[in-house]
Amino acid sequence: MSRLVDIPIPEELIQRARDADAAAQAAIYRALGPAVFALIRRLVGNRAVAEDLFQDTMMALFQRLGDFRGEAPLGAWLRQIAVTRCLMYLRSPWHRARLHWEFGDDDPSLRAAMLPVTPATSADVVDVERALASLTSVGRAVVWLFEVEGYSHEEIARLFGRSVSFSKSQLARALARLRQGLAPQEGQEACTQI
Amino acid sequence: MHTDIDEKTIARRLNAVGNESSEAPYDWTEFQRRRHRSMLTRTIERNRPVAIAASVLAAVLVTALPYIHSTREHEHAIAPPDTAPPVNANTGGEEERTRAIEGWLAGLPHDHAIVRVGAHAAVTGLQDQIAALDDLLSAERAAGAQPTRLDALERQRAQLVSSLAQVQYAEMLASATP
Repeated sequence: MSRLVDIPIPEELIQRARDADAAAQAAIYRALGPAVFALIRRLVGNRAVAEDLFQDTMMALFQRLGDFRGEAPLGAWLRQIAVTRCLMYLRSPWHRARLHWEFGDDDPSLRAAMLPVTPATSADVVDVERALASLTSVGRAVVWLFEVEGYSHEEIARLFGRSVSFSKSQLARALARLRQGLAPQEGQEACTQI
Repeated sequence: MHTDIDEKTIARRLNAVGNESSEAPYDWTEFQRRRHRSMLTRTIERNRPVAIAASVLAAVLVTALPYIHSTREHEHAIAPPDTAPPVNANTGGEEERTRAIEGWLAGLPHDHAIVRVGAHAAVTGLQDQIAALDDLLSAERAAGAQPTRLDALERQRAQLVSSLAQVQYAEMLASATP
């Protein structure tokens, strides 16, 4: 899967989609949809919520395509819409209430039930998915935006409406937890060697 | 016990997961279907206040229509004739009109769902005055009073009955309105 910002969309296709050409809109949907959904799913975890946000994001894409000025790739513009919607959801009282209802004391082992986001093609992917699922939703969003999507601490802070130190501390905590989850354990190595 | 791994390794592994293949949750056709449904829902939500107002208005009209219809029928029934009747006929018309109003009043339910204290006092006051006037009319007729005197009393009674009907009608509308 290509990164959302790296997916090339021809200007001519965008122009036709602006003019409500259904075929052009379908082509853009097929090109960008998978990456958009993967990003949203990575940020919010829950598949049902991710589907709602995906639908909302793609609808916003076609409704607001007239505002797209082509200064950045269409994928980058769409990524901003998707991330904004995801973070709005993560900050919403509804999300906090759902977390409390589903996970009670925020037990990471229960949160791991949300994986996998992508079909597992290797043991390493499974490990990373499990480690990601052990993070809090905010921690997972921060680490993903910083390490994978390339956002700066300033951008993340702005998106969350918080300070830069909030972004840095969330990242540090998330990385510490990922280190713990991803590091090979000595006992495991011994067992597999025998 | 864990062996420590650095941030670059974590970032590399996260990016590897990010590059894994993924699919949209549904195809373009399903997206279109959901988009239309969502737009329809938004349209309904946007027009909900208007729909509620229209429903309330319709409910009020449906509730009040039989009463309004009934009152119009009575008004039509007691409408004065086009030509000026003779004095005796006029008196007869007044009596007929009063009887029609009294018939309408008799057909009203005795207990309204909501009765305001002021309206209740006005109704009972008018009913008492009409009853007193009825007694006076009976006494005057028995004493052989002049027809002009009787006509004056009848007209006064008709005015009281008419006032009673107006109060009762207003009260009935008020209690029928949600």
